[in-house]
Amino acid sequence: MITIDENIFLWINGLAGNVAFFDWLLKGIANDYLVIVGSCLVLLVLWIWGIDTRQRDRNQKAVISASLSLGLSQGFVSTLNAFYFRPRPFTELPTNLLFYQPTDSSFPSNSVAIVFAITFAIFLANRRIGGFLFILAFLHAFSRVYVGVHYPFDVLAGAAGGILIAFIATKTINVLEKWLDLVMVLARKLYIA
Amino acid sequence: MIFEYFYLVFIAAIGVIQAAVAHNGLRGISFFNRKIYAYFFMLISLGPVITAFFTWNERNLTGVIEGSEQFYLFMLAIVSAIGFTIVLSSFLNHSRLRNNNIVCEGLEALKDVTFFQALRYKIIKRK
Repeated sequence: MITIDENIFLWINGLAGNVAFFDWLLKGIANDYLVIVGSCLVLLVLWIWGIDTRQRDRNQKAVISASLSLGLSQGFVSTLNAFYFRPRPFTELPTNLLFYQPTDSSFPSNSVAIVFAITFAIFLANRRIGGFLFILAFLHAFSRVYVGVHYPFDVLAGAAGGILIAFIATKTINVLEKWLDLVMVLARKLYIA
Repeated sequence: MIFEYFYLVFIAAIGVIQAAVAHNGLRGISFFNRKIYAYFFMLISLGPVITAFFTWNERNLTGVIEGSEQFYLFMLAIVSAIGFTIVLSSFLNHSRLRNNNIVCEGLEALKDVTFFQALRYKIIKRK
């Protein structure tokens, strides 16, 4: 029996192979490095960015929160993978595969969880940059289904998990603000923050 | 493949750091005395890196760097890029920036002095 998830997968993946330009574009966006490295480079820029100390301080706390979210989302996916394995769609359904064949669990999408965790943590502090990252994150999530390596539910779960983790990480950072301020004072004395 | 990942992140990081410090007026860690040069430098360093990551799977057909390995490589590349930026900018700006009165702490201080000048003044002040 074909589930809704599989039906949506077949529809989205069915778009692949029709327009060479879209195949090329989404294959590039789907890879494991471009969007993740791009998002992390945005964190590096945000660490330096700020017209004054106050704005920079806010940005730097967002970077710390995003970095914590990144680590936690990686842990979240690894933990889930230890208990549950879902085969990749190309092993079960007729697929237009535009990508190499990953062997790890399809559920939840690791790269999507990481990208959404970083994006949401930044979005909570800086709507403009966060909004830009959200566009990249959505494109990345869509492309993973388009190229045939994830079911839609895998990327939805990854995105939801990443967002939830970023929310918790940001709240935790807010609770620990006093301690974090001490670390920031030390970092400022060393001219690295 | 690992080395390729490292140097791509390293080059991209140097490019974005230069653009960010130029935009925020942190002259002490900038390689250039005009913002426009820094933005141009970012374009010529980031452009090829984006292209290289975009086409990664065309060059490395099954090329995957495992998650934790990617994390360590990324951190190593970023730390190397920051170290390289600090050393080169301090060398380039050593004679241009000679401010003996640092009033700010943190990155803000690097608007007027180089990283090593700032550290040196801090040590002298302590004595």
